[in-house]
Amino acid sequence: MPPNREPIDLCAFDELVEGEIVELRAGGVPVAVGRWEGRVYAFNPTCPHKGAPLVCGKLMARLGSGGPGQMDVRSEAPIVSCPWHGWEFALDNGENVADRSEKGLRLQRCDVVGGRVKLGIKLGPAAAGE
Amino acid sequence: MIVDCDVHQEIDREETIWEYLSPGWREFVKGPLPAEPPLSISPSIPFRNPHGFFREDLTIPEGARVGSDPELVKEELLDRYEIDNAVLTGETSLYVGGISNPYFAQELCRAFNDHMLERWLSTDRRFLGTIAVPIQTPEAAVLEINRLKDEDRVIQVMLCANALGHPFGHPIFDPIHRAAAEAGLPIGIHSFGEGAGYPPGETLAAGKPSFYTEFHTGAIQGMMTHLVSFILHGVFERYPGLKVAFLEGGIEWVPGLLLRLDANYQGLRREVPWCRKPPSEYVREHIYFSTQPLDVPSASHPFWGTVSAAGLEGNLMFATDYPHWDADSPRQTLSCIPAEFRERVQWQNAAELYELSADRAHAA
Repeated sequence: MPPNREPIDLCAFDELVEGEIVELRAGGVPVAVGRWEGRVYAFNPTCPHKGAPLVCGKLMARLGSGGPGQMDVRSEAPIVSCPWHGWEFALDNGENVADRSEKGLRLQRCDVVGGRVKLGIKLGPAAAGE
Repeated sequence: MIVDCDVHQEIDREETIWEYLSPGWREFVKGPLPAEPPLSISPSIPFRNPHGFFREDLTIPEGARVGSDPELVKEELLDRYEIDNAVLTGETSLYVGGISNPYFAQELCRAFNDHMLERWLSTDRRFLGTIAVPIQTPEAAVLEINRLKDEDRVIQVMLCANALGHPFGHPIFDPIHRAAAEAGLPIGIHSFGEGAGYPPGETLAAGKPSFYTEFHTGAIQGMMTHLVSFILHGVFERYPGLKVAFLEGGIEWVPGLLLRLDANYQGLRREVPWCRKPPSEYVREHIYFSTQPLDVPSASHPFWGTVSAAGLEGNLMFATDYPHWDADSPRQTLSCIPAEFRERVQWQNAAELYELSADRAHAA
């Protein structure tokens, strides 16, 4: 989407189910939209690894660790995991969670305005490897 | 300069090691019937080589075992091939992890290590020593590591026959990981330990092999399992200074394994979030491999491209495996290493791993 374009109305916030991903169209272009803990995230619907449809993937908490054997939740934003090979992408910055130098996921700005989900400009360049 | 990272020094006969046992253990092991000692120092090994296990051109000391005379090892290996340092990895002592009696295993390790200090390390500065530890009882292994860690020419802790049924990265071995890391000693993992002793572990991943050829070919499965275990249990996150040397496993299996492991980490990192980077990065930073048995026929063979692609030129170390039947000759083997990193393999990588200062190295 070109910068400075008017936000595109995607759907009503209430149409999105918590923890699920849907594929919508913005100006004819497909976009994946997920709702997680009351916030909305929009991203490229195709996995940069091998092209799998991320709408069939899962939103999950991002896990980190303070050391071997420890599991922590590391950020408020979730990850989306690919339905084919399980690659995880952070939905706060698009990073490939396992390896920042690998292909990342292109995110798109998404806001809720007056109960409507609005797709805005792209959030800068995609993560490394795009 | 040449550093040989896998030289199997042996005791001349079983009775010799008895003399290094405490009086009580010595009396017990000798027993009332000399032909039937109540405990053997050698756990059973399931296969025999049809040619025998040893090079047939070597001199066998009368009434003694191959590889048991330091003077012959100097003559037939160090002097003949101008080897500057030989890392002694043990022969019978490799299989102490397969001894059924854990207390005897502790005593036996102490005896083997004292024998190595007295009979080998004191005779020539080219010899470097590896600590045999009772794998059955990791806390006792720590005591043995701490007893010997300050010995001048002791440079490594050995894991081989696996008494505990878990790959060596499992936290059941954490006391050994910690002690080695604190002592600044690499851990050596020698192949062919799977299936040795009591209780015997699995020899090969898919089931019991029928032939020595099958066993020998499949031994890299154990090496693969130990390597993956070290990475995924986060041993190098816990001990960032720890290094591990995979000995007598060769290098050919490593690039392919790393491709698969890195790919799996991409998708399955969630299971092991304490791993903070792709597994191949841990390998390049912490793990070394010895050349023997080198199955690559020439320096121009395409296989070396996979080693370079994996960035492993700094992780490969030369080894002969003297005096075994499948030993590699320094001249022939080194000619099969690409010239771009031959020096690294010949001695530099080993000097880095074992911190071979000018004092330790015969010729620096």
